[in-house]
Amino acid sequence: MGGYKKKKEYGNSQLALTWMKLKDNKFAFISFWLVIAVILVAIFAPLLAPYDYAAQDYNNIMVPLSLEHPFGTDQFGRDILSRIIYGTRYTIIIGFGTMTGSCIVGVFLGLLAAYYPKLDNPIMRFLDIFANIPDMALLMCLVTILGTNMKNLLICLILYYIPGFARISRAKVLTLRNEEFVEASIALGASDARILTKHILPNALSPLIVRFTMSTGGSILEAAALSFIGLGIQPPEPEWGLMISQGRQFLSTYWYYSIIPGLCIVFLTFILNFLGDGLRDALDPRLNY
Amino acid sequence: MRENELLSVEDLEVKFFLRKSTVEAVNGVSFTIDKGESVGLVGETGAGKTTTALSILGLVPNPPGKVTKGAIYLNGEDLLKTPEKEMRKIRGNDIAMIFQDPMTSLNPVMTVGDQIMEVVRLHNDMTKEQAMKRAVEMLELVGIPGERYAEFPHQFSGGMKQRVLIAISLACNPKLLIADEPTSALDVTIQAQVLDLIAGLKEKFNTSLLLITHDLGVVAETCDRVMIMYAGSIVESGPVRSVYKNMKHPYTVGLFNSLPRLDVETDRLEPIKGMMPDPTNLPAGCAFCERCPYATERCKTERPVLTEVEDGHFVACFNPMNKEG
Amino acid sequence: MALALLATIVFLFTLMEFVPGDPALVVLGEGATEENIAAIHKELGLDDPYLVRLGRYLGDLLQGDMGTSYKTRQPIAPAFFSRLPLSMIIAFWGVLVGTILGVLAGIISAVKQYSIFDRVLTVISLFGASAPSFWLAMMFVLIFSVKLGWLPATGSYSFKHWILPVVTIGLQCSASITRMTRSSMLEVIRQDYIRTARAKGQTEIRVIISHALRNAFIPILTQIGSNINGYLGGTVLVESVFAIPGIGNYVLDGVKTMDTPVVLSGIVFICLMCSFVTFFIDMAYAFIDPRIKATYGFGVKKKKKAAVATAKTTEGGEG
Repeated sequence: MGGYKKKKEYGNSQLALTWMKLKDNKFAFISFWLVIAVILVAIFAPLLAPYDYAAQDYNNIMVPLSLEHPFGTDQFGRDILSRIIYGTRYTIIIGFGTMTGSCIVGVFLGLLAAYYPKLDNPIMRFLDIFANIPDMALLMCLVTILGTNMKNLLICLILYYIPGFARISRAKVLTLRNEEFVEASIALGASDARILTKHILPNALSPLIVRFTMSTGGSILEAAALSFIGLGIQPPEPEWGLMISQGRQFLSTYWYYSIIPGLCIVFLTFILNFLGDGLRDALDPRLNY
Repeated sequence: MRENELLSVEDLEVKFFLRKSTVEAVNGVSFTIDKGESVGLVGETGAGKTTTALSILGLVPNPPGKVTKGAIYLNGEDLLKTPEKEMRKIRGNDIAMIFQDPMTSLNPVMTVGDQIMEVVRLHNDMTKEQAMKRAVEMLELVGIPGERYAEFPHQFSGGMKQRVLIAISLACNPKLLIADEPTSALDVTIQAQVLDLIAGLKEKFNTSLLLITHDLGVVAETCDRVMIMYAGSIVESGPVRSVYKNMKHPYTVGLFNSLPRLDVETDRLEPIKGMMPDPTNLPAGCAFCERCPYATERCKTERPVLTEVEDGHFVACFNPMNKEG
Repeated sequence: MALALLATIVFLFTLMEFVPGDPALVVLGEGATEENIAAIHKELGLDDPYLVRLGRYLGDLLQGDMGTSYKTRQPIAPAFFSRLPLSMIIAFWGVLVGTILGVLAGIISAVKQYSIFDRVLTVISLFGASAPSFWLAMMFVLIFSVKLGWLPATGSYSFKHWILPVVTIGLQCSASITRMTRSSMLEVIRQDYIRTARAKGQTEIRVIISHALRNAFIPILTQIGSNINGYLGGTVLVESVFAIPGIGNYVLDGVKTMDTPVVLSGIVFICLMCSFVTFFIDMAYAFIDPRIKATYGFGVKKKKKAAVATAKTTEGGEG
């Protein structure tokens, strides 16, 4: 209680306070660094991977876990570890790309809806239609139209996650606009743009950050699911969901083929969820001790 | 134990164990309440009044709170040693409590009648019909038409909700009623009504009353005795007349000086300077010494204990004042 | 609700307009002749204006006609409804198992916050929320079918075949419900009225069940609703792993073969079921929370009022 209060009195920013609280939550803090580590792996994949992810080696088909191939090889003799390492690129791009895209579009639509009452109903009702269709049904529908490849997968997922961001930002803006500090700056003659950027967005940021982190995990799962049923990324790309799907026919004999990419998905989503939980607690001003 | 004594709290100590620090909420509080007596417990927000009340009911939120020392006797029986199962029979039946905020103290998804009936059925061997009848009676007793039995709390105003809470607390004729700032969340116009209702019903059922408040005026009107609490300790206690006329502790004096008075010509009120000490880090000596204009070296190192200055009037101060009020 | 559903159907129909390629080619396969394509266009009315086709589709839907598959040239409705019960059974039992497990686990971890139970349950539920359902399903197959040989890996012929799919959905579903129950209960347990209930001398278990849980239930119910909706359309993953011939697989085949009528009607029907679920959940809100009921314009419980009236008359009789 005391520690944070004092820091507050000394005028530390919200960011520093959040950071301190996040640091306090050991698991969330570890998760934070693990997420950073995964991103680094994705960036430096060519340096880290022991083999070329596409290199086929018919002398070493279905090698079990060994020193040479820590995660074994697949039916074409490709090194699974290298494919996993390259796979992080797809996963990270999909996860964060989707969220960045839908966050920008969603927040924009949410702000429009909140600030221009005439647009409110059309925008929100239209997004409601989107949100009412169950996730896999909507995604399958979009895939039918767009076809299956990385770019279209991203577009599908961005479309799918837009309504959530729009709703949050709209709701937050609507409540914030009636707050006294916003009314005060309206009374002082501040422009719409200034109120929006100086007062409303910073305060609406924390639910958006939490939503962002939590949904990143979700979008990774959705992407893997689509790839798994053959509607996402296509072979021979080393995507994790796809690898699970490919390993399926070898489940009884070469279990590691589908277990390992699955564990990677679980691990990444798990730390993202943990980080999201930790961020939510850290950004919640009610939990101050 | 005196014959007339109902409740006796001895050297009660309650601490809250937070992750990084320990809040000493109540530090060695002792007092008694006689049968049929009204006692006021006065202090600032955070002085430990509510915590004291909750420990009498055995409802200090645990974790993080814990009663670390002391004893609470109700009719000679130590409540702190009473098993939880027995405590449940005492709560609501022998000791009842009215909480501070009526707006949030009623369950929003239960009808007010059912909430009264719940406590009736818990402590009396009654059929549903009998209990319902009793609940309707209680509603009418606190001035709410019995037809409103089946309404929900959101259909009631704040004052009405507080009446419902009073009905709940008195439904089983408790021996002790604890009222925790029963009027502070209400409109000024309603406050007097609710206080009159509590005082009237207290007389009617011959219940003892522990009234927690920060309003010295309310105490003067309702109570026989008053205890002033500061930073988890009682600093002064005694009969209302004696304390109000002849206050001894500098804190009590400060409290009175921060009230507007009609009989003394003053230009401005005198607030007590400074803030309450951090409850996680109480000073070794008197908790009030940093704000006390009369503090000496001794006050900083030694904690004063309650000593009797006149009949029934105790004060915990090394330099009690002699101010005629 | 009906309007929202209509909007959804129109929206989906319009979306399907953007499917690339000529449906006639899907019907006939590659290498069809010009005349054949023209004939198919005429037969399916593909050359009619958009509004005409939309009107025709809606009219057909009202009569229970879900259109004809491009691939099989068979009506969709019978094929769809023969697969529906299986999907519904698995989704229903899965969500039921998940709800029971989730609410129980959520209550335990909220009541014993920060205890070892809470921590373990939190980690398990986070794991459940992080594991892809199809992967979880494969792990169950690996353990219970391949290694232990207790349960069949694929198919849908008997109760035994349903256990693994139901458990998979149940576990995944319980993860989100546990988290929602925990946070909602924690919010409610701090409320003053819970303290009031304790001060009445109510037993802890009744305080938790009849005071706290009922107040905490609205967000939990929302979560249950969104789970049901999710699994009505989302059993496709589990169906795919266990090779269950349900509606999920049916629509998936439609997507893969570009059989747009199947995709459209399948998804429209899934949305229809979701609307019903949402409607019932909304009704349940009113049942739980009198404040919501008041906004719907229902009166106070009449039964209670009558009971009070009789109680009052007997009182009057005695006096």
